[in-house]
Amino acid sequence: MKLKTKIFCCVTIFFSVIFLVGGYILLSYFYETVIDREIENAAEQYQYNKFVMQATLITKGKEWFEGVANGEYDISNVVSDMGNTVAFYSEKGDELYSGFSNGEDIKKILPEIQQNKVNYQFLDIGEKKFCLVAGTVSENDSKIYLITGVDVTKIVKQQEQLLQKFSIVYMSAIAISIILIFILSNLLTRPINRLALAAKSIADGNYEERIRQSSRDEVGQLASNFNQMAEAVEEKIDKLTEYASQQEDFVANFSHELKTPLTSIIGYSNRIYGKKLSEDETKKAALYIWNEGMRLESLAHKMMDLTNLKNGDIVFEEVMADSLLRELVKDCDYLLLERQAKILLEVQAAKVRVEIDLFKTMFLNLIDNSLKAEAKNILIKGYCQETEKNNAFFYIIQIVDDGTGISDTELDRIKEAFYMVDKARSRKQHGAGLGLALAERIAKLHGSSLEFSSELGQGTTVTFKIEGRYAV
Amino acid sequence: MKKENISTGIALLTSIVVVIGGWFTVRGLLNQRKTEIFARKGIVYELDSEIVVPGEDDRNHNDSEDFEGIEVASQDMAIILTVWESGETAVPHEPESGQMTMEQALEAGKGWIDHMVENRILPDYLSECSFDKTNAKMCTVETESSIDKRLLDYWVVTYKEGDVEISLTIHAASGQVWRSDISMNASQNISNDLSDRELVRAAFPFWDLENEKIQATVRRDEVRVNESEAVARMFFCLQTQNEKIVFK
Repeated sequence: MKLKTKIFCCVTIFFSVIFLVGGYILLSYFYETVIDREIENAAEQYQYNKFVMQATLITKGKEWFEGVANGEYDISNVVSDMGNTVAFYSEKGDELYSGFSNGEDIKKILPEIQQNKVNYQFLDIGEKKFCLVAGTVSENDSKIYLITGVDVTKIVKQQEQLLQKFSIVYMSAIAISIILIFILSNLLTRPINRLALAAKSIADGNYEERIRQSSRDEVGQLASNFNQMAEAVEEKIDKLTEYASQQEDFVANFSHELKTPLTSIIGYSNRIYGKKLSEDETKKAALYIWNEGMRLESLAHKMMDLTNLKNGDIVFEEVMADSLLRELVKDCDYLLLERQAKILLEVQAAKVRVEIDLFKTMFLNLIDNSLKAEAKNILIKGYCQETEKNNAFFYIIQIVDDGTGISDTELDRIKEAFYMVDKARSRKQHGAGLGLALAERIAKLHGSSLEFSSELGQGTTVTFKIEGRYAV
Repeated sequence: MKKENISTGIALLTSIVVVIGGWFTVRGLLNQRKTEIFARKGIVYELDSEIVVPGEDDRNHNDSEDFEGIEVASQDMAIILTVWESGETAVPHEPESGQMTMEQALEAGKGWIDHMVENRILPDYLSECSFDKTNAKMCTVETESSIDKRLLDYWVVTYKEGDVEISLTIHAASGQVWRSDISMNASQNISNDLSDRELVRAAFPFWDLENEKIQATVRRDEVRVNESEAVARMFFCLQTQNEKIVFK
């Protein structure tokens, strides 16, 4: 069942019940009040008539009363001073006087009238309904019944009219309410319907679907949250797609990187095995096999490093940045000598938090990369930077080389695994295209990222920052 | 889809049943309530004893024991008069203990008329008159008051004899006449020579002229309609209003 149907039915039922219960209570109260008032009115009239009777008795005496009780004297001249409809009956039940259209009906109530008690009851006499108040007027041994009636036919008709009016009001109110509730339920459920449609659209793969936020209430808030969620989902899906694509590229590159040296190794070993080669030719084939083997070994090491980085626990230590960098530059002496390159250090003293081995791997990879790019002069800068925001302190390291440089189009991809700017040159130098991917992973573990800026033929600058503090 | 349609149909049907059925139920209940109300019978009030007319012996006995009303303090009197003047509906009821009976009220009224005759305010023949018509009713004013509710009750006694009609308001606990309205043929009015002060003194013999809380007023009118005989009207009243009494 639709929500708007539920709202419509529930509110209609609720409204109807409230109206009916309220109407019943009000009308019942009205009935009670009006009838109580009529009883009071009849009782007052009775009392007044009784006073008239008593005053007449006092004036005219006992004999007159006995005469009236026996039916010997006419009582009608006394009745002229009385209000409303009255009737007198003797103790035996004979009618002495009756202003009612049918005195026989009143006779029925005489046995119910008790001595010294004034009773009331309602009685239909002819076409009218009366509220009768009855009691006795006695003098020594004589007694007569005095009955006063107040016509309540009008009240009965009023009650019927009120009931009819209530039905009209109720039906009109319900009809108007039904229209209003219908409109209201539609208005209330419209944004929810829009939300459901948008959710379905997203489920169908349309991740760009968004809802227009038309109000600031809970539904509006829900729409806003939904849009936020849709944005997050879209972002996540994009990332997953990109990741899946990277994984695919990784597997393809990895297979390719394995296949290339293996093809050479298999080819040259087959040549050595299958043909009789000269000593020079054998040496050349063995050199190829050695070279490709070295590449495979390098590939295996780098892959292992990458895997270990994913699984291993890392322990950071606080070391002096300048000392560490000097030490690392010293480790590169052999490489620098081989490539006829030199490193210039411009470092500020500060304490940094690093995992020494990983940092060393990252640094050597970056230096190796510069050397592979045929850099002859490498400048290593290290300086402190304090941000106003949160009072954070960073140590910035920059490696500036004068190598071949990287084009802008390639700059975005150099951190991808197996991506090589100059494949031929890289392979020749036993490169597998994993060095920068590894360095980037290490930088991320240090809460940073490698930022490359380069110009073809001018050189490349790599910048990264690590957490630290001033040396005291 | 089909199931949803069925549940929607059931829900709508339930709503219609509640709206229409509820109405018929309430209508039925109201009719039942009406029947119950009109079938109601009960006792309005109960009397300690039904005393209407004392026998001859009782009359003799009563003669010897006249009603001895209580003396109402002027402070209470002011409260009672304020209640009477409030315009609240007067409700008739039976006298209670400590209050004068109807016969005593009629007697007190007759005594007051005799007193007025003696003071040459009313014609002599009224003292011997048995009156054509006599009526009396006891009323109370149903209102919240700081004094005993029985002190608020009063008798309205009416005497008619020819053109003379005298209506007296007698305080039921004290037996004193606090208001009177007399109308008679102007030719019978013999009080024209008397001042208002003399009239008030005669009408309220118990009243202290120096009382600041309660004032006594008398109003005398003569009304003539076309060629008919003029009717004289005298209205005596104790009241709490701050009007200055103007004496002739």
